[in-house]
Amino acid sequence: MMHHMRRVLPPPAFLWLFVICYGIAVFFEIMFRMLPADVDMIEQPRGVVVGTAAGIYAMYRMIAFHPVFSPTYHAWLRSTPWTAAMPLPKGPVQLVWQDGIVLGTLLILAFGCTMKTLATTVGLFLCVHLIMVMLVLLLASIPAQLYIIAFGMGALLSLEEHGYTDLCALLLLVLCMVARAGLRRSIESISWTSRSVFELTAAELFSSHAKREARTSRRDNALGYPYQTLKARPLKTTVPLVHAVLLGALAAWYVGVYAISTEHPHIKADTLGWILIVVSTLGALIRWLVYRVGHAPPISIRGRLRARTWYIPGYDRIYVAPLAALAIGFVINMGRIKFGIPLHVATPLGVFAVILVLFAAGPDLAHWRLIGHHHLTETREASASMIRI
Amino acid sequence: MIDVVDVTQHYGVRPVLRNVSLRIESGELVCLMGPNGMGKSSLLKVVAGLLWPIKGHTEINGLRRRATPEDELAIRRQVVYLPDHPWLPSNMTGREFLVAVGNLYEIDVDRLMEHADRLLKLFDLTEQGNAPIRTYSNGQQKKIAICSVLVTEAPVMVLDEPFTGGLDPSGILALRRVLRQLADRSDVTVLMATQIPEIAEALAHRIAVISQGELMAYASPEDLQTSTQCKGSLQEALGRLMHSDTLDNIEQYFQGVRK
Repeated sequence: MMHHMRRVLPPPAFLWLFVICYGIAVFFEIMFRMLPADVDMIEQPRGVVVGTAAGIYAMYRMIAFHPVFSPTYHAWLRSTPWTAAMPLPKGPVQLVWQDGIVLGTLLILAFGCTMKTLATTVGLFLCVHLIMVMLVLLLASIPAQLYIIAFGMGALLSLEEHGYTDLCALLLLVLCMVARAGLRRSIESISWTSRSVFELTAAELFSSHAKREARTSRRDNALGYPYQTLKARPLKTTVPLVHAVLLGALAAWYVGVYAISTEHPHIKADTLGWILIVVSTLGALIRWLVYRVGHAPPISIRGRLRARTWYIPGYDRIYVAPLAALAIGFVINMGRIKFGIPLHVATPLGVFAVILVLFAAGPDLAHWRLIGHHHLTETREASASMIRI
Repeated sequence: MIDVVDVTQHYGVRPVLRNVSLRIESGELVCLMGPNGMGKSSLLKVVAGLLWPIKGHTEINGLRRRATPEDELAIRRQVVYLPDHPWLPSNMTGREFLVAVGNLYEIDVDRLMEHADRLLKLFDLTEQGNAPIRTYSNGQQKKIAICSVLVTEAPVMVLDEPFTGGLDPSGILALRRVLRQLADRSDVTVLMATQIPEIAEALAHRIAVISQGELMAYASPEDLQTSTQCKGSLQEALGRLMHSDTLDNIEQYFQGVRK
């Protein structure tokens, strides 16, 4: 039994930390019981410790066991005859009965707490698990299950807020099954070729060696043409239309979930009004910066004024998408006020349109960097790494 | 049999391997030697399939690496690789790790258990074998990594500096004996990087010397001594091949001291 449990349990340092935190929580609980405090207050410390432990454990299970988070483990696997049909040598990434025992133990440690606290602990564990699975799917480029879970999480938030706990539990179960299928696919996608998506992306995020590489890679991205072409990895520049639509829909979905939430109407109206302005302005700025860094206009604004060249078609088309995004934000906000369109309809629609335009509108970045009528300039990072003679 | 065909690799603009071709017959134990940073580990990674060279390819027992998924998997079942800094699962015990690795190579369970026990005993890890690997010292971690290679019973072994990493004298002796026994077998091929001439002299059928990314020499220890016209030890012959300036540098250093 211990042999099986040890395979999934975190290192002793984590367990000791939990024991200490739990001890402190029990101490506070005893203190609260001596004082005239309400029931929620009394059980809060233990509930928080147990809930947090459940969330951290769910996170640990994925980070410690999925090869996507350990480039050395992944590299080792690639040098062995391991296939997706075999169990992972380090331990399973999917939820197994040992996880049930860990979660059950945590629930037992929360004895005396309300059912809500117990349900929150289980919910937190599963939600963190789903978020970690989404991260894995993102790194492994498995979009189908990723979008399903992302949309489902939004629905989960909404159902929970409106008190549909049964439906919420059912949806959580369905999403866990989708996550299981997604994890299966992520394991299958550990490629036998050397350049798997895993190694290139997860590595950039998590290992120290890879962090170094990622920094270099970011510097490479800022090098500008022609130096940029020397870097090993091609820059991902095009977002397919289907992803642009789905990303827009996802953002709109979460805004919609907030729009129908039980938040105070005044606060909600203010926030929704700002969301569209912030998304369109910030989005337009980021999009412009991505195109602008290292690729200046061929003549300055003063030059344009002097030469009376107001419009340079080969360059100024990069302004179209950001300006369109700003215009959409402005028009929808104005239209909403003028025609009395409800906020919970206008804002999600506006966010969808803005994101769609920002991701899908041309020109294609790689294409534009090659043939745009720009003036190649040194970026700050490129000039910092350059040797001056 | 390992066939390295015209392999060229460079990281960025720094060439590490230049048109290296090498053929290791079945049953041979070949030691790869050369100065630091000259491409030994890169060549081993190419053979182990971790690195895909810019030019050239490798074949293992007639199968070309990365040709098809089926061939690649067939190769992986025959090859085991011990990197310089091997990955080890910190939460598993040494014994569990050996069994997990053996399972990957589809070794019969009874034989696997028995072999794991013998290996743990051989490397003085019988007691530690049931403790998590995170509690091991550096030398013990190196030992368990070596055990994980040997437990696979793979016919092709690619070992990067197996004698370094804090092995104690008994571990070195045990590994030497095991490699000697493997070298005598006709069905096991071993390619091993080492910096220790005595080990190469004692174990290797042939020695490949890599310097500046090129294969400078590939011959038996005796032939290397003959070709360098060196009547002393292999160390001297290798010194002449790889570090021709070293003796001069030593002489110049002491001349400076005398002045």
